[in-house]
Amino acid sequence: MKAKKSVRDRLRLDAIRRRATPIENHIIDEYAAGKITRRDFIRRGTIIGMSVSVLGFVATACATDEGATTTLAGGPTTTGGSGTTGGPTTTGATGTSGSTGAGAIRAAMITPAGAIDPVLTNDEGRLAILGQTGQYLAFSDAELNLIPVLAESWEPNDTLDVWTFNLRQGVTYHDGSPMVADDVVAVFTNIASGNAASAYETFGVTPENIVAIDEATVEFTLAQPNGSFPFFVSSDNYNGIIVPASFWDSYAEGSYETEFPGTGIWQIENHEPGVSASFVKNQNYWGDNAAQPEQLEVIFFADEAVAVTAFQEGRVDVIPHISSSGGQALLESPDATVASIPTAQHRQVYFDTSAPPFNDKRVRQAVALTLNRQVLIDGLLAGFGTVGNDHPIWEFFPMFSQDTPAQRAEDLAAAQGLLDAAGLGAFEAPLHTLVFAEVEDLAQLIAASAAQVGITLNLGVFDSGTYYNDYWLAAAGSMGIVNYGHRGVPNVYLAAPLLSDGTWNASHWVNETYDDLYNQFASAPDLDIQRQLSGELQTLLNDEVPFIVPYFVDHISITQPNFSGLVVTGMGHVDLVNASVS
Amino acid sequence: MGRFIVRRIGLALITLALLSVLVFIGTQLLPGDVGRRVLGPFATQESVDILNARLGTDRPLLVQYTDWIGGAVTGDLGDSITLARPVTELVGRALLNSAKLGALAFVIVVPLSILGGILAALRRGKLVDRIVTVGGLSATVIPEFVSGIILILVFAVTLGWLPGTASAPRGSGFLTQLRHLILPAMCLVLVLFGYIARITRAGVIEALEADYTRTAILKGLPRSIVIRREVLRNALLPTIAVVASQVGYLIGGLVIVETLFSYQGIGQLLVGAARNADFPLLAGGVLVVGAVFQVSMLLADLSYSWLNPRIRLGGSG
Repeated sequence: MKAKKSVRDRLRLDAIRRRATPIENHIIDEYAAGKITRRDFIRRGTIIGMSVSVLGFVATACATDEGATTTLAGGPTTTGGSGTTGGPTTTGATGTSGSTGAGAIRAAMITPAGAIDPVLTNDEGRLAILGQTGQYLAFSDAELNLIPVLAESWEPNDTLDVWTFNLRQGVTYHDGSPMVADDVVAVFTNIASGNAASAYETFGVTPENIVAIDEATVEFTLAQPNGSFPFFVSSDNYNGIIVPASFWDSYAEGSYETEFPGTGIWQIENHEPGVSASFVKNQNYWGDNAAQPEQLEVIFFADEAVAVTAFQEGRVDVIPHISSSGGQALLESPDATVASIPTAQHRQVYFDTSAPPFNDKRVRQAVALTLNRQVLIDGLLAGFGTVGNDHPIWEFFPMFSQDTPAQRAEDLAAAQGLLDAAGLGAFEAPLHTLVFAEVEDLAQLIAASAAQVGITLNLGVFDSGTYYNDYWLAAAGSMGIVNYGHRGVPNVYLAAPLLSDGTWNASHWVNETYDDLYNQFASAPDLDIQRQLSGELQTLLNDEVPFIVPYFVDHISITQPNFSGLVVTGMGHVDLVNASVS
Repeated sequence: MGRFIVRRIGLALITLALLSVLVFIGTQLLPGDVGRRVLGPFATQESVDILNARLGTDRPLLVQYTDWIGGAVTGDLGDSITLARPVTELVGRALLNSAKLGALAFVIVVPLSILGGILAALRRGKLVDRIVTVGGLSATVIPEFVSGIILILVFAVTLGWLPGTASAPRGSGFLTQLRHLILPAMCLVLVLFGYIARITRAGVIEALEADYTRTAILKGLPRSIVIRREVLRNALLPTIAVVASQVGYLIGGLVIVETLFSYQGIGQLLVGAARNADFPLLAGGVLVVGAVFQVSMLLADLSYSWLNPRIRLGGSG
């Protein structure tokens, strides 16, 4: 019986491999050879557009001992039919709902920073609301899988510079009109090609040409090959909400708010800017939303204390995202279910490498050696974070290289030795930062740590407008701290702040070896090669320390004990399709 | 009296005009490029330039100012840059919310503190006096974010008697709205009670010791009539001025209380506007708050002069 099954499996595997593209076959080879884990195989496969059923079959058929181990709950939890159900890896928040979908749920969410508008959105408050009424071609879930949503599948050409997306059929907007390829072309032409004043992050992968091949097929031609391109048109780039092409005819800042057009599971009922929003279930949703509650009531909070009291009073069922400091009162409470997921969000403590004293890498290494990272995580994040090693390649990225370099730990003697070798006695330098989450306190603790080896860091704390305008890129012999939000792939972290001509290179760090390595990394289709290059990048960055990455920050959600079915991502997307209150 | 009113209105208009210039200059001093603030640090420079051109923030300052003030005179304060809605709509709604909260606090605190002040003055040195003066002062110096949190923890979270948010659900009736406003209003009462009560107390004590009061008592008038006719009428003059000067605070200065109780009043709206360099919203909002302040001061002056003939007669008395 077993032998028969394995023969059938082999035949099916052969058939799959015959139909597969060279890039797909390459990934299957890597997995079969045990070079990548099952988890990485599935993640990588979803990016280049392999279907979930094929991935699942190949993962089982080619399983190796090593390949079968997963540390996170592996693989997408969707069957491809319903778009946004990749679950977080937490306990307490993931429960599957068997409810009939009656009733209403009440959520406290971060106040949107401005008009709800896909073009202008650059903050978590807005992207979380946009994701209720709107959808993306693909959804980047908490485990870095790319789940097909409005695109059913996609595939690159052999050189990875032309990507074809096959759109899901039978999808309609809230007003009943069908979603077609022209809509997708219009969205990306407007936000990514400079037609609209957009907050869209192009990351240097701006499509050169976007065309509708037919009603259900869209083709993106890129200036440079990019193996991770689908992430740039997924929920990772939250400006890419798919709206009808007609939306652009009369587009003005904020015009999205008149109807909240989209294909999402909720339709807008009422929106009072800065106060509240209410939604009703989309009865004509293309996917399975049988379990979805009838109504969603959102209250916005500008101050986390407001969300905490609303929760304590029982006025809300769920706070999809709260900081460890703001939510402190609830973290230990028996009346609250706390769930967290690791994310790639991190703070970069950068040095101006173009001027003394930080133009000497020994000085930068010395500052990095004064930090006790676990103490920072425990003190500033109540333990909700993972230690960073002075490069932005998060340990859960598939291309993260486990081997190199060793984790940097507090070592004051070594730090003093490096300063002595650099010929520096006690010195002073400015440390600028912005008011954001725990960053101000982080600055204080860095200053206190550096003081142990005779470095006096003079703090300057500014509001974000002042900081980004006057201090961020103007760093002169100073240090600074910036925040980088979660992304499904590290390209944005590795390009803009680190390339010699990077647009956000606050360190003013110029390193040709790095530029060359990064360019190879960005166009490498092969995870094995990417991982090898990643190892080199990690080592180089850890040694050069253009910036310190002290830690990565977890995403914390809080729910009432009778609430289940919350799905969140590291970026702040909130999916409540299976939410219920028992 | 007519001339007095015309002169005060004229002064109020000049003040508002000056305020508009100051606000305009002030918002221009806010650091940061408007387009960059709206789109964030990660948008391309091309996008930022397009937005600045569309918003007109790339034009010369004088052109922007005359454009804006020209609209303001006709009641058009332009559109908010961040919220992309008409400023008059946003400010109007926020002002109405602030007015509701301010009015409730006013209705509670004014009679309560005047009564407290009078009692304290009449029972000078006794227990009532001590309670009003020491208790009132203690409550005044407690910052709103402390008293507010205590009120929320006690009455909303622990006892569950009152909601800890000032925003009532959509479509709520008058009584529900009132219930939601009680805790934030109490917060304001705590701030203002000690201040108004002490001013009243001082005025009453001064009047009690005045010659005209002694004369009235010596004339043999009953004590209650002396207090009503001679003491209160004179003693409440400074109180009225103080109360009127608090109207501006109650309308435009409730940022902390509004934030704490999640209430979309004018204070929170303006802080958000300042943070985002949303010039039309900030300038329009400040102008409207300035106008409210001017009107309340005008009304205070009028009632003051009605009670005090020396002012009404142009200082000739």
